[in-house]
Amino acid sequence: MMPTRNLVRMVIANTVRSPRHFVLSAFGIVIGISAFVFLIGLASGVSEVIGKIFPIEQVEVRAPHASLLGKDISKKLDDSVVKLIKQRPEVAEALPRMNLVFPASGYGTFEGQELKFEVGGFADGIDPSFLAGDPKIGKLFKDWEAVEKTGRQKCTPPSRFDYVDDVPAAPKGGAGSAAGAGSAAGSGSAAGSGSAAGAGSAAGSGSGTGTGTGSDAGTDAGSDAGTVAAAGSDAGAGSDAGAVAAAAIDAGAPDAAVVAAGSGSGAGKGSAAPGKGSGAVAAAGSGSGSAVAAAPPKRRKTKAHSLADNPCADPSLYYCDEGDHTCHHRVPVILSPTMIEFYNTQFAPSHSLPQIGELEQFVAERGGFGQMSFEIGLGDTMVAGSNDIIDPSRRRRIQAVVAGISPKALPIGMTMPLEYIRTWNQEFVGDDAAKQYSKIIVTLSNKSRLTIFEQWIIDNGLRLEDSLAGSFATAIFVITMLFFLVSFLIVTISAINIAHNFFMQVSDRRREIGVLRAVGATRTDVRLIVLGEAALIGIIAGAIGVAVAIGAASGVDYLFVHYAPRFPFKPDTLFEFKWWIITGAMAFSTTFCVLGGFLPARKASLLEPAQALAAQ
Amino acid sequence: MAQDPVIRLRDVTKSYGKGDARTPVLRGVSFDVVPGEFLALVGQSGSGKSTLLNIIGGLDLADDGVIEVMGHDYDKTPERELAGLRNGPIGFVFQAFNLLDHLSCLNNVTLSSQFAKTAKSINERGMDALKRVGLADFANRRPSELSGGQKQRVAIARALFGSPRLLLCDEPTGNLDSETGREVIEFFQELNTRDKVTLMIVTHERRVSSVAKRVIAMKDGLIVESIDADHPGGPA
Repeated sequence: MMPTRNLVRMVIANTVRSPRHFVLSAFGIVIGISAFVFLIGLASGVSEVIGKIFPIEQVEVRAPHASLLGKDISKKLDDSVVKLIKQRPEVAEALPRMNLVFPASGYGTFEGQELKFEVGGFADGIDPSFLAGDPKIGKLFKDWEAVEKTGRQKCTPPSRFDYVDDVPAAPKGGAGSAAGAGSAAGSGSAAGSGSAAGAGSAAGSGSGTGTGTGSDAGTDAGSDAGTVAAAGSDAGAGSDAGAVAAAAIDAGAPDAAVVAAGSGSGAGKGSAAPGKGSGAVAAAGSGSGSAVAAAPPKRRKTKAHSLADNPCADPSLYYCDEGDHTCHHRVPVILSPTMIEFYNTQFAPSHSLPQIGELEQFVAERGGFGQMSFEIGLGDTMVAGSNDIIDPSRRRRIQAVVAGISPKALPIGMTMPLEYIRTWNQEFVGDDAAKQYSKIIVTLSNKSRLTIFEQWIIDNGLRLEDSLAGSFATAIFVITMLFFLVSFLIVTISAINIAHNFFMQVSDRRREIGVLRAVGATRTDVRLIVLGEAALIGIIAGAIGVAVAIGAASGVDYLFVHYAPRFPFKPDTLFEFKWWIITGAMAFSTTFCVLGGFLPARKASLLEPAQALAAQ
Repeated sequence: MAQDPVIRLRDVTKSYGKGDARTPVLRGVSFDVVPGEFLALVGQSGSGKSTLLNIIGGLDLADDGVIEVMGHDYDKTPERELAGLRNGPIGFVFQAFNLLDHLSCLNNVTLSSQFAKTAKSINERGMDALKRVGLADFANRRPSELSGGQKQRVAIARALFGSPRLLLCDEPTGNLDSETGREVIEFFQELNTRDKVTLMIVTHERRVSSVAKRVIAMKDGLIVESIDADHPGGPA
């Protein structure tokens, strides 16, 4: 065989010297390869976008609901099921998720706006180890209650009330002439376990006894004490007194929650719920008509936690727990890209809020994670009629912080470290709720094993959640195959065209081939020269095809980005030119050109030199 | 002591076509050529002399018979070795010159080096070959820019580039005018006498055969006469 260097030089020289032949041979390949790269890149890009919406490599295992004579006999998803699934050879990862199974609501401020949202039903937990591969999230996404069991900083929770001046004007009853008073009285300094309701007149012991006269009155009587709201009613004012009966609403003092309401009849009706803490409950129906006039009462308003008065050493990540008066790490939560996308495309524009790009940058620009924190009222809910589910006395508040964005988070909602959910489920619902997972997200090692896995799941009394992901995966696969087939046909036709061109060229170059043989070229040398020329055409045409495809894709992307309407998950590009698409296209082009040149090369190599030289 | 022949042919046969259309071209040709010989093959068109030359050069295959060239029995010699013979020890000169128009004269001359494993001083050797034929100044010209005589001299330079021991020429003066043809014949004589190159020339021209040391006449694929110039009446 001739030296490779000489072969390469001769192949290049032969290719360059016949531009017409090159163009005729390369044209079809350029079209075929550009179509291949464009279409497969499009399929890949669209697949990527859809994959963000529906993780197509994952399936959800659920326990089908079953009951017998009204009794729930559903198979439970617990640790033993997770273990069994993990042992399956087709399973790469099994991620159990546990839903928060009782009411909870969230409060916070974001960009100066108050936000309230429901958490119960929109939160679940996963094992932090599933996010170990993401160091940015992993350092925050931990079960901090376990990590920091002891040595917590003592603290005094800040008051959570603000006073606002926008009190509606007190009803004008006859000053001093009012008769009958509603008052509520706590039991003095004792923990507010008592309740009293006076009707007509009431007297309580302790620090306050009210003979209310026509004012809405209910004031906080102790700085760190229980909260008392009492409402007197204005008997003297008659019918309009009841309208201002409602006085104060405790919004979360742990020590006591007291609601008192007066009625228009002048019968103060108060109740004092026993507080958990030690705060004294003092109640005072206060004021008289003149008193109202002299010192207008302020309405109190529950305020969200404030970093400014956070006594913890690291207020951005810790909060002072109102239960044990120690600093706890905020519960880390992660949000899904779906949530962020919905925020960016739907919520933010409608509320004039900024877009979130890179979370780390967004957080840094706002002064740290403290600005991404919020409260969760466990047992509380904003859903009307649902507040009876959890006894108000058991409700408590914790604080959470957004630790990052991960596709492993609940698509709509928030995800926390599993142990928080497990602990709260046990605390508010019971042991069973702390053992049962809501679903198990299974990542298969190979999508083609889905059928086998699904059958095993069914055999074990479980089921796979029907999801659009499977349908999309199938659709994408079919479209990709269709694109591939179209490209394959184009390139195949091009290869036939190349074969035709090379047959013609070999005929035209018979005498040249004869001369080469006469001066020492072997059959192999001749074959390699022809194949080398075909391969070179394949490489150059393939590169041109790739460039044409990328150029066309850029044009399409420009039109798409600038003229297509915005929609959730609208990507910046419709194309994804992965390395294997580019190298595959080059290999595809080169291989098909070599195949096209194979028979002509064989024909050339089999020519006897004497016959070849006889050609004129 | 008798020298080993450069060429040894025994009962070489060759036909073209198949079946009824089969036409015998060589019908049992046998002779030897010793080193340094200047042999002319003469005969009418279709007598088989060019076919015989191509078979000796390994450019065509015989149907039967023994062909030994420089000790290589072609029946037992791999194709790669035969190519190696054409790359050096055997040179060819054709009536139609067979130069490649897309290459310069120098590159035509050095073309065989592309297929050699260890080719050294290629351009120097190519220029030497062109100098020998008097065309050093035409090294960078394309063959299309040359006259017929110049083309043939470039073709001869190409044959000389590999320092051949056997030069096979097929009608080398057929496309040349008489003056140029005479120069080419003189050059061959010089090669034969000075460089001891064995020459085998297929020709129609008497002026060529007249300078050969031996003339073999062919007719219908057979040798009909062999005349040794040194021993005109002796056995061939």
